[in-house]
Amino acid sequence: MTKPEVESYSPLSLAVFHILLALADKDRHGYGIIQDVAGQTDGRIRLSPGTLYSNLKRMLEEGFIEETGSRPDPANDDQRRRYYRLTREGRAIARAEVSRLEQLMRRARSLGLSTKRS
Amino acid sequence: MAVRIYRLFLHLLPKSFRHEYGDEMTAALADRRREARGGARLLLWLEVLPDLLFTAVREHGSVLRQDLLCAWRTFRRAPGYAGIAIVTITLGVGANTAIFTVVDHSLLRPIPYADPGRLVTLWEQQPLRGYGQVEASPPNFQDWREMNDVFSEMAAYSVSARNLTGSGPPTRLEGTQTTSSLFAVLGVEPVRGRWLVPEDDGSESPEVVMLSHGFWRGHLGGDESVIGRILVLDGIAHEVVGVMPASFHFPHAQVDFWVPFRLHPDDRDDRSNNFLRVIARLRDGTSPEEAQAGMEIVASRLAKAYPDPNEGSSVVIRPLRDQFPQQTRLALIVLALAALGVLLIGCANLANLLLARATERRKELAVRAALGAGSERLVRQILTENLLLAVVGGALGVLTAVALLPVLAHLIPTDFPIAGSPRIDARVLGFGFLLSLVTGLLFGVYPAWRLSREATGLREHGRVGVSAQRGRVRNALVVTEVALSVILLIGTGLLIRALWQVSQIDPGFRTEGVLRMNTSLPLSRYGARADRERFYNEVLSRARELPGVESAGYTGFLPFVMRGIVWPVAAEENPQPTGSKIPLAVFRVITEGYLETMEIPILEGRDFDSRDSQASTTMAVVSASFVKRLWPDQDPIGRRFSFLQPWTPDPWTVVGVVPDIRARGLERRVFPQVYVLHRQVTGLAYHAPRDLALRISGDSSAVISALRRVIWDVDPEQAISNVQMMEELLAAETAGRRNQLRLLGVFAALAFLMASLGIHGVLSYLVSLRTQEIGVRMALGAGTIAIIRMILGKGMALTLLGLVIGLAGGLGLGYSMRTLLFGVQPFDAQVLTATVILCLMAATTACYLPAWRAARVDPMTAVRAD
Repeated sequence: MTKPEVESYSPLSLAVFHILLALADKDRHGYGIIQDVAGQTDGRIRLSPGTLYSNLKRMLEEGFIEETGSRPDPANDDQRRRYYRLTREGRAIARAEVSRLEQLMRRARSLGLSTKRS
Repeated sequence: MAVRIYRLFLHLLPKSFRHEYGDEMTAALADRRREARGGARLLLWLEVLPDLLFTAVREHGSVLRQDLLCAWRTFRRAPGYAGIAIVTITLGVGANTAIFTVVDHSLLRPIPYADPGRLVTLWEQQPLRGYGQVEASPPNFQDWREMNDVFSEMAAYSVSARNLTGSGPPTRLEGTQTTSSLFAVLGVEPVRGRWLVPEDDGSESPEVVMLSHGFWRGHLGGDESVIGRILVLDGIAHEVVGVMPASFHFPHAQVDFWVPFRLHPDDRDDRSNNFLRVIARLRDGTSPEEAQAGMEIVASRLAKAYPDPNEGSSVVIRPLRDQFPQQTRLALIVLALAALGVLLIGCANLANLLLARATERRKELAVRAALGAGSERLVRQILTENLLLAVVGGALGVLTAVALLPVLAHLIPTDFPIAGSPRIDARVLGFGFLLSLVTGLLFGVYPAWRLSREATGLREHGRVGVSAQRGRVRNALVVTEVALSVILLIGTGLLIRALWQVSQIDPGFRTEGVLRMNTSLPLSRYGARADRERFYNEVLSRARELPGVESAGYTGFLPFVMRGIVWPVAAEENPQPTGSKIPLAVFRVITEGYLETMEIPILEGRDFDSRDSQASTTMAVVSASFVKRLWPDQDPIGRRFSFLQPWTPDPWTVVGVVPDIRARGLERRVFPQVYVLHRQVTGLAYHAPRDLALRISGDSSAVISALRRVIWDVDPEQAISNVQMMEELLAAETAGRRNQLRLLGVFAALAFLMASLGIHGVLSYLVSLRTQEIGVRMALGAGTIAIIRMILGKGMALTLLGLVIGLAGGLGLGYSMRTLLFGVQPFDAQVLTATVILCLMAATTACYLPAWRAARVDPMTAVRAD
């Protein structure tokens, strides 16, 4: 994706960003994404099925993620779930968002707002 | 269990989304429930359900956006079709919104008083005197008020016009005399000052007046210090104590003031002087039936106590709403039905149009179906298209109705306590919007369903057949359209005939070139007959000398101006008539010259002249029907009769006979008429002449200004009002009918046009569908004539069926509105014949083009095409 295209999606909504993060390291199914996002945020963000799937639908349409077909759920062997994976575009979008946030963080730190010692 | 509930809620989502992700969402929920324990499980619902609702809204919105975009693209590709649809809907919704505005304003909206459903009017019922419903007399009213226990408050009022002097040129104002209890009955607070109070009712109390909002703003310029201001009415100073709100119209919209009711000592005990209108508020918890029963008891006690004239009399109670004139109510209903007819025909046309478009859209929809759109999605999309058309058309329709407001105002009756012009407000807009949606659904649902069925059928079977069923629906729609427009045509035709009949009525007097002016003489300055006589003589003698004035005379009430007051009469030979058929007569006090001015000819005897002086025998000129009632087949000249009223006990001698005139209105019953000379009448100041009638030639405005000078020379403080030509009064008699007819005519023409287009459309489609079949027939030897006959036959068959149904319906309509049909029978041969001819002609024209095209089909290309 070219830079102007990427920028047209920025800033990403919170839910979309967390989903991208959740799929960054491995393919997951719906509940797996919910669990991972909860883990990312120390339980503060628990995605509900409605929000999750309407965002997944949109991200599928935009081409950020794709289905990898359904596989048995490791936790629940007799259920087959659909697994999702980041596409190249999705990864590019995620990277762009991270770089935007890093820029913001640098500015925040220079203003003395960061609690972390740089 | 919880999972099942969740699955149920999933139905809020669009079907496609649900099919795609429903299982996963349920699984995700099950997983989360497994993780949570105890109380957390309940909290989960609080989180999940709002989320579901939010998602549902979001997803439905996204589908809607897609559908709207798609609809826009579709219309861009076929703007003609969209244009036709929008115009049709605009006409249908516009017509109905316009009529709804009037109907809502007049019939549906509560009258702006406190709790108007508890207000009733009371009337005396005097069958022995021939009155089914008549105003009350003052002593009876007092007794009703004191003796009842069913009303919390009761008030009486009567019209009272007064001359306003001292603030600008003398002006005549319309007002009401009322007991102070009126404002308590109606429960409307003044916007300034105070109500009338019981203290104002006393005959020795200072004279006070309450003003209408319109008069205060208009005539007094919204004077901020109006309270306490003095206005001189009929020469008497009145202090302004209050101003009523702008929405207050009682008893009708033209009232300028309200004054306390001052009873003349003579009237206090007269139980046969019926002129008071009575309005009352039902006590809490009392029903109208209970009130009626209670008042009947009161009435019977009064009948026993005062047998003359209360014998056999009773009380009638009517809800306030019933005061609305019946004719107007019926006319509005007819208009509402007509507007509905236009809408239905429009919807039928659009439904047919959509079905015909199916052929063109078949491929597009089949592709969509092949790409995975379920039939539900297709229906939804087509429905969205139709609703979009409907909303756009509806918005334009509402705008049209707004533009028509001034025209609509003519349909509102002027003698009912509502404002004279309707307003467009939230109710009307809401109605317009709702109607647009309903219209969209009406014409859109069936085609949408059929189209999607067809598209998915194509996907499954590969081809589509022209089902006979669709042809039946289409034909039924056309037949309905024809029937509806035939009904409308018949209704319009009947009303046109009725209007024509009314306009043919000879009023009985001359209306061209007659000028009318009202100069009501206030009693305070003209209480004595001699003073009045002097005024008339001076004005008349000077007026007759003016250039352009051929003759002049005064009368108490011109024809059409005064509609009430008939008195029972008795011939001298039969002074105590009994039974229900006591003759009643209209009574008019005139001066010399009046009969001549109005060109009412003397049939027998003579007109009034100088022989009839104050001291000589009281003479009367009577009408032909009066003679027929009292002295059939006898010479009336010199005979005597009396009015059965206590204040005119002396007998009158007939000196001349004139033809009857339509005194009370063109369409109203003609009562016998009696004319008496003013200088011979004692008392009866209410009937003293006030309408000056002049036969003029040449320019009326010159005569009018000259007359004003004459009148103000005689009395500078005399108010002049109602200056108009008699022709205007005559035109006003038919104005209501003409207004209704105009609207109805427009509706009928629209309906007729649309129905014709409907037939044309259906036949065109038929031809295009059966082009192949036609080609085959031609190739097999069928001539052009046979083809044309086939198409024409189909079209005329549909038309004839619709015509027959429509004729039956039209007769039904005519019968149910027969009270509007003055002098016309519902089964009027002229109207029915005209309708049939018109219908057949239009149908033939509509069939012509498709039939011609069918005849031009080239058999070779038609047979090969597929």
